[in-house]
Amino acid sequence: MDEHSTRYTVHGGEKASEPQVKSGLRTAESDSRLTTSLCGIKLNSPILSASGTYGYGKEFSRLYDLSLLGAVVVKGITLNQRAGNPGRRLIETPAGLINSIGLENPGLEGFISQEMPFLREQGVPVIVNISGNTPEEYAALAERLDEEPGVSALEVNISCPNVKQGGMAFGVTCDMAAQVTTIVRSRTNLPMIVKLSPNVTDIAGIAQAVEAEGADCISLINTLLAMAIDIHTRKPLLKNTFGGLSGPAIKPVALRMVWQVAGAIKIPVIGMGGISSWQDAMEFILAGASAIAIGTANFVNPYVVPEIHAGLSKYMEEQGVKNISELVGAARINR
Amino acid sequence: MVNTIAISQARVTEHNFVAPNIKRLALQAPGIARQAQPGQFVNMRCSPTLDPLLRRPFSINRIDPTSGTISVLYKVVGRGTELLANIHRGDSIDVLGPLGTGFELKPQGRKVVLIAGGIGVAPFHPLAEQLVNTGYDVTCLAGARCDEEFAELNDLAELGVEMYCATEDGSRGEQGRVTNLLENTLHKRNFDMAYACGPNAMLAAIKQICGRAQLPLQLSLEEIMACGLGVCLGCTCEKEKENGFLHVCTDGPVVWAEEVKL
Ligand SMILES: Cc1cc2nc3c(=O)[nH]c(=O)nc-3n(C[C@H](O)[C@H](O)[C@H](O)COP(=O)(O)OP(=O)(O)OC[C@H]3O[C@@H](n4cnc5c(N)ncnc54)[C@H](O)[C@@H]3O)c2cc1C
Ligand SMILES: Cc1cc2nc3c(=O)[nH]c(=O)nc-3n(C[C@H](O)[C@H](O)[C@H](O)COP(=O)(O)O)c2cc1C
Ligand code: FES
Repeated sequence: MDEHSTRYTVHGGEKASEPQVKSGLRTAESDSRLTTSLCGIKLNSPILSASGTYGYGKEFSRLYDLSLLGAVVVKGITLNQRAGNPGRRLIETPAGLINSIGLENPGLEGFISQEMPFLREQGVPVIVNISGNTPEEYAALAERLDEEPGVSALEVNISCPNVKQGGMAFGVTCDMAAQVTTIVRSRTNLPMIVKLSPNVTDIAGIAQAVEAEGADCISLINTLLAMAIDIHTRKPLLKNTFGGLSGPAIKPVALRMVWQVAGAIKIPVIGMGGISSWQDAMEFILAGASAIAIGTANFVNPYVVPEIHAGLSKYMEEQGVKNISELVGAARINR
Repeated sequence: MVNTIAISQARVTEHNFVAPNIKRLALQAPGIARQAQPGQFVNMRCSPTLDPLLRRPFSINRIDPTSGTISVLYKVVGRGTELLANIHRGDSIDVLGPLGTGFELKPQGRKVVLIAGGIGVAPFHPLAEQLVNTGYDVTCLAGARCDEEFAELNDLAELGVEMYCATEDGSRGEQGRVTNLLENTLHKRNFDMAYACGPNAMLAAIKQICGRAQLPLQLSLEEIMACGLGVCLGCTCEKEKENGFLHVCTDGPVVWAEEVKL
């Protein structure tokens, strides 16, 4: 492997002596074309991990240098530890995946003591995804993380059920979405990203409500509510009946929602939903996303992040574009 | 030991039926062959397209660090394995591994028994090889619905493993289930350690039998997986002793029987 043509190390992959190495992993291009910023955070690239598909970064750090990412977005954290849902948690669908993980996580303090020391060492911004059952839980999470060194921003997952409202997700009404945003805003000076649920009739309206309450950025989409039935037992396959659909199957819907939201607000947008290639990533950027996140594709191809990184670099060069931020929303302009 | 994970476009060096519905796929994958331990698995893409989307996990069935090859032994059961069955020698396939926690290779005592249900025999060849080479007496009880669903029996015998089998239709060996075979065998003989792999219902029965006989038991579990790496948290199995879940791809696939609720 030519030292100069290697921008990042691939840890433990089939080494150069073995010809079957995935060739997409090496590139000679400088990555300055991909550097960007998001609510004041400098990003090495516009590529983020999507919460819940990347753990806390350790596993993928064995495959490639995490600094290829603009930021690591970690698995959703709740105030208390959660064991997650019983029963089957995964269902494959055509080009998609339904999950019912149930926010299994070590809890706020567990996360801080077990995961933050490693994350702080990676030289990449850390965005902590937070979930709560009540506005007060979100507030407590925000307050504690605000003082934690190495946390660059919070991503507020408002797709969680509001136990005080009969389990309806916070993110499905403007009022509840705004309520969570307001309380988190009052407890943290960290940049606040609010992650929207796509299971709504007016996604742009929710985005505007959240922007008005002081969100610095919007990310979308979370998973689409979905289900599957076992025809032999004649019962839903998931104990909770519904799960969340992700993967390539949802990409066109996600892209449409990113387009709608980016057109309705002034704060930046992180786009996600089914992104599996650099071409997919480019579509979201052209639709108005300042950064993009990779979720389910990490399961299918653990090297998808380096591959998208290489693909975007090459595209920038071929198009003669100095920096990727010049292309954010470009598809909206010449219509 | 923390091994590194290799991912490669591995070349298919052999791909043959070993039984009417069971194939062995041999791959040139030196990075995996160099590190793989008995009981670990690989996660493979059965097609380069996005449908079916997920990789499919398979136990590593042969490990040859010298030639840099590994094999998997699989039964065709659905779309992924059907697509896999059509891959030709010389083609490349995307394989990730070695993954997970393998078998205990230095059990106390000298006499071990391997209990296989159907294609559950897949992880046992590398295990038996190591155990035989380090001086253990290895017996294998293999069960299947019918003779046509057996694989590996001769290969294991050639390693010096004492083989017994049972079929539900009586077409080979004793008639009945492998659990009956185990009970009968335990009446006559003592073992120091047992290993089992097969459907969950079979593992649950074996856990009870071995529990009564106070025979230490390791199980190789199967669960639907997405990442195989420990990041999606989708491959869970309930813990026996405390609340919460094991993750089959990292805590397993091989676990001590008393750790897991079946
Ligand atoms: C650690 C591990 C090791 C395995 N080792 C082997 C092996 O050595 N040889 C072998 O033949 N099979 C093995 N399996 C099972 C194998 O992964 C499945 O048979 C395969 O994924 C089915 O894919 P498919 O697309 O053909 O079937 P699908 O069309 O997806 O499903 C067909 C049937 O298989 C079941 N199934 C699907 N995925 C799994 C799974 N991950 N585990 C168990 N059942 C499943 C489904 O419930 C369904 O009944 C292993 C599984 C695990 C978790
Ligand atoms: C297994 C799994 C776990 C997830 N966990 C979380 C989570 O904890 N918090 C969250 O905000 N989103 C979670 N998500 C949603 C993803 O972050 C992402 O929004 C969604 O999957 C769409 O992107 P994708 O199609 O690229 O996966 C999860 C998704 C999957 C597949
Ligand atoms: S398969 Fe993803 S955690 Fe085990």
